[in-house]
Amino acid sequence: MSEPTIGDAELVAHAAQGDAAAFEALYRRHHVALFRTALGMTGHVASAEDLLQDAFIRAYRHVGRVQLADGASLRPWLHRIVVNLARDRAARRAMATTGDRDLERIDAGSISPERSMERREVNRIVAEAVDRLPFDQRLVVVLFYTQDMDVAEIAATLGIPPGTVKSRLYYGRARLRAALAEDVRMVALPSMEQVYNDG
Amino acid sequence: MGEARSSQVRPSGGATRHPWYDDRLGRSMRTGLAEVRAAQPSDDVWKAIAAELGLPADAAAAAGLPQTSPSWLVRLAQLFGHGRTDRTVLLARLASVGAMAAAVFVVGLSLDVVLSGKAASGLGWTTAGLHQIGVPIDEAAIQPSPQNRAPADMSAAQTWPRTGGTAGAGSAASGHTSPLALVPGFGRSPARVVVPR
Repeated sequence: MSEPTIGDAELVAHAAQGDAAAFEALYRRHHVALFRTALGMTGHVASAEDLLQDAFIRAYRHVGRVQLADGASLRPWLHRIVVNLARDRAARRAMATTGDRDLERIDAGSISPERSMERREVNRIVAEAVDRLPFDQRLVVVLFYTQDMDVAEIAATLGIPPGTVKSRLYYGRARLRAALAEDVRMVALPSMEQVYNDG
Repeated sequence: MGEARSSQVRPSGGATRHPWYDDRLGRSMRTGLAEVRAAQPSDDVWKAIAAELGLPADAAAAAGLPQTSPSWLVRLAQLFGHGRTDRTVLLARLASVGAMAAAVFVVGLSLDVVLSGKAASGLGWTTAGLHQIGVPIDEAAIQPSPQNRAPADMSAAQTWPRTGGTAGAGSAASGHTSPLALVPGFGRSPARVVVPR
């Protein structure tokens, strides 16, 4: 069942004229992806929701400046707003600290308590490793592994050369590999496949 | 923020074809970030945005724009349609279903009147309508056809006794009995002969 599709360009044109319905439709279309990026960058559900809220408020106030070709998506522009806000907050409040992530708030589903604890531990270890990455490397890693964007898509979204994306992803992965290999907590846990495939 | 000129960007998902996506570290990252990959923001975020900007909270639904939760009309179209949301088609389908339901209702009422025998009672108006189109009101007076009519005198139906009897009722009445007894039988032969010892 395909719903009638209205392109982002048309919605942007209406939103720029103050059409609240068009702006809400843009929000409904893109908010989940932006929230996941924000959550990957902050590690806090509440912070990610604040980031999402601020990003769309800023987008509403500046949507009149957007020139979007027919068939183009507004998501890269919205992503840049989220990224800029996350960068500002990281610099201001030093968000990239370890040990205070609250991803456990997200329900892990109906699994055994033991597996649930192991999953939370694995998530915490990975999240801490991601947190320790420099902001630009973390951003590329999050977009690659949570939004499933490839190098060219990340480059287009962030407005940087593909070579830069590939370099940041390469060095980010090297840091992650080293961090996970050195983490003594991983020794006490089953493999990740076992933790996530067994109920 | 500056002027934004958004470029044409391919839809996301290209990373799945990248060798770094599914190697050992890639799988670890995706499993470790599984909660982020499945996370959903709460509905309160849009309410806060709408309140901050002075927008109605459900403007898109009121304008008929695509929503996360489809409206009742879209749900109905999903139920009846095959990928089409044309309201004309939807209304035609609804009219067709309504006509079929009305036909079933009328037939059911008619059967109820005929079978219940309450022609002149609560459903008399329906009986009158049936009479106008040629159906007689006094259904009870209709007799079965002659070949299906039961005879008034049913005594002739008891021709053969259940147990052993004598052959020839006329002979028994005259006092002359036959030495052969007839036993009613079943199957192709109506009786078998029993020779007394």
